[in-house]
Amino acid sequence: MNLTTADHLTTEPPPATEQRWRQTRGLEFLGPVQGSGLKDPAFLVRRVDDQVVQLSELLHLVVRAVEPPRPAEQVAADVSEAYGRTLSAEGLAHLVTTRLEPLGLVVPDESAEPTRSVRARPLLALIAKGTLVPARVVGHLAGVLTPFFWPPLVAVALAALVAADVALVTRGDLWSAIGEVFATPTIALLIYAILTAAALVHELGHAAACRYGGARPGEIGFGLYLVFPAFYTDVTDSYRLGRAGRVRTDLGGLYFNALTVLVLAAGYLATGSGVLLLTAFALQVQMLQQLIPVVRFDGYFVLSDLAGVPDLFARVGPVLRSLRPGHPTDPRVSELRPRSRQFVTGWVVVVVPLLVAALGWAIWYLPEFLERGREGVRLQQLVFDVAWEARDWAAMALAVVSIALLLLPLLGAALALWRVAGSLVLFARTRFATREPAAYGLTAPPDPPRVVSAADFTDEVMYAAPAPVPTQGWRGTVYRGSGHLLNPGPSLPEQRRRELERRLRTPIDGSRRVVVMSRKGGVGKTTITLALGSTFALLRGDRVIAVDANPDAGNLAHRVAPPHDRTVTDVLRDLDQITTYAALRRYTSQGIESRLEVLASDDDPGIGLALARDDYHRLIGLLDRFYNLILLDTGTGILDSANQGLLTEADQVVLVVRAGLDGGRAGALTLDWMDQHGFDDLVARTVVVVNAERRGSEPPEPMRRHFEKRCARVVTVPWDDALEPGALTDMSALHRRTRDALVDIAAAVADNFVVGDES
Amino acid sequence: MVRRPELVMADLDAETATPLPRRETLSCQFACVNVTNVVGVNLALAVNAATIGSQANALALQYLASVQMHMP
Repeated sequence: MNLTTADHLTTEPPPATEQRWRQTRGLEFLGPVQGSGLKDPAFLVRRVDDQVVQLSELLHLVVRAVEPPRPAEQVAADVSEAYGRTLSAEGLAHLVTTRLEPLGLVVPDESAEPTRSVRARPLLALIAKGTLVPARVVGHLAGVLTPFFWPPLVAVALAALVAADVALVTRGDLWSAIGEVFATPTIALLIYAILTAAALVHELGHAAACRYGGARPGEIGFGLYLVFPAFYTDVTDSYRLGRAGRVRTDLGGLYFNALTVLVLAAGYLATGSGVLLLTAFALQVQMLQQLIPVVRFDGYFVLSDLAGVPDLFARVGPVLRSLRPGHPTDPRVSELRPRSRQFVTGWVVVVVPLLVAALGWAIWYLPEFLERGREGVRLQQLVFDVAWEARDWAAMALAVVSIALLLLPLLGAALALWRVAGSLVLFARTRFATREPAAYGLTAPPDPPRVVSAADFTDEVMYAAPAPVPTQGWRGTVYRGSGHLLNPGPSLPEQRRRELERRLRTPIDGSRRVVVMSRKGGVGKTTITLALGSTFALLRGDRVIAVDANPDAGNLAHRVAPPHDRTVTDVLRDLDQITTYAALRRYTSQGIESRLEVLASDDDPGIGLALARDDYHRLIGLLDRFYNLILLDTGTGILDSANQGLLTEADQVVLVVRAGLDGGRAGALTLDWMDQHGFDDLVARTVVVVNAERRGSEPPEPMRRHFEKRCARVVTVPWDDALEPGALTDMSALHRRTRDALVDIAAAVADNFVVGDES
Repeated sequence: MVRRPELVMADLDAETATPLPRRETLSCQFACVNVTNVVGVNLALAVNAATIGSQANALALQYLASVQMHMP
């Protein structure tokens, strides 16, 4: 065989721009998640194996766009058009390979169907399942039963339940019924049988409610939940329903239980049978227990749907991580709407201690309960033997049921422990596998060259990459306390922060001019300019200057250092004499802590207002020679000639808005104006800073999404007393979350340094 | 033509795709029955074993007693 270059090429993956993908077979698009607790819209897709996947809007667009298979550039262009932001072919390849391929939603066009796609592994879920009633039969039965969910009928049934309970309590003789059971123990068998039938009716209720809402119920089956056997109905398709439809599905079982209670109560009132009375009470106790939201009973699903969060257990880890003092909020928590977030946090705070305590209690008393179980089985064996002698078939059946009920939890416990052990092994493996690259740098070290040349005498080739060391939290304390012997590595938040800082240190070729603007006064524009400039100056090594270009008595310089008597006007007057950095330095103030330099404006508005666009053009031309990064704090408004001149000079814009509706509207109008006046490229690179005007305030979701679609980034700066306008601002006095937000803004601005250089 | 902002790698890494668990509505019949005296969590094997056992044991003893009473 002649292995030519062309043969080799066919075995290598094509470049990202020429790659083609396709959807996997049998994907079904279920539409947007309704009543979602997420801030951003989410969409549902079902795979051929019935696994439902929730996708962000962008990923959903990508899955839709890859069909029919086309070159990546075309797909990326279609997605960009629909999404409103530009997705490159490389970005598309990144999304497909890191998100969609592992989930088995998209595959390379030439590949076979995936066989082992990622599936959900929910905590405390049903195991060892078997089907009792196939989906087709359930669907048919559910269709017949849907009229029971006609609202007037539901209202009548609930009222009848109250009336029946009143009648049972006032007219029923409970003690006599209990006595009856003890006198004839085999009656218990009958109660078990009725309750078991009621459990199947309960499941049919879920299926009928699911069908009533417009979704397709799956099979009814049985399995082991925790350590108990349980019936279940597959209502996965109800994910596609609105919140009301999902809650109806959750409560459908209890509603059918209520109907069963009505039948039992009617039977008791007609016959006076103690069995019916006891069963009616026992069933209602079960109904109340079904509402316990701690484990996956009906109450759990109701809570989950009210919060708009599909799997509450999946949020336990992120919520606990976010509750640790001094740690940033986990993205899996910050993506939730404020109300859902409070809801989920409250649930976690209540449920986790309860579950931990219950587990500990169970383990502690396990030997005692095993012993009791053994004694119970022995006793039931004795009952069976005696019943056998008497040929008492009912008693024999009761003994068998009792033995089964004693043994099944033991079997369930063994299975549960097996699963826990398996999960721990898996966790340890993944932890071990991901630990190494995390602890020893972001990229794998290059392979050493076979023959070392002079050019290979570099740190990367000659030395092992140094392990990153922690500086914060307990990890930092351990590292320092052990005299640098023990290095637990930086925490994830610290790694994230370092990554942000790496981004904001993106080298600048020449200089960059960043205009900070707002349509309205009093939104904190000067404060943001100062804080952003200080962040850059602190974390970058090069020269950063903030220019007060506010003609109306700007106060930027007063916020950095004691007043300086030289201003922009002086620089413009002496422009020809300023030929060195040292000469220019005489006109600027410098922050003591941050080393940010500031050029003040004139206090006299008459002089300030007289500065024209040509003056700013000359000034910026001078600053370009001595500074890498120039921040320009403009006056308010966009109609002013000088401000328009600054926009012409700008490489990018930071738009400051207030979190409220007025602030958002003013910001959106500013971007409209820029689009209409030839600054559309600046709009696409703009970083929008939403300055919170009170504690905890956040921009409305539609407002945030509006700016996200039009601009490079939207960052909310939380309220901070230390950022109160007017005073000398000390960066170290800022709250940690405020500093994090500023680093985030700076990193977003710096992301454009590369884009700008390339263009 | 209006220029669209570029999606940078940090934006792409924030995109989420989550496989959702199957929704399986349970009936707690075997977990719930006879645990009415236990408030709250139904997690423990111990709870079920003890309570089912206790009632079953009581019924068993009652049965054995009644059989003995009726023995000739």
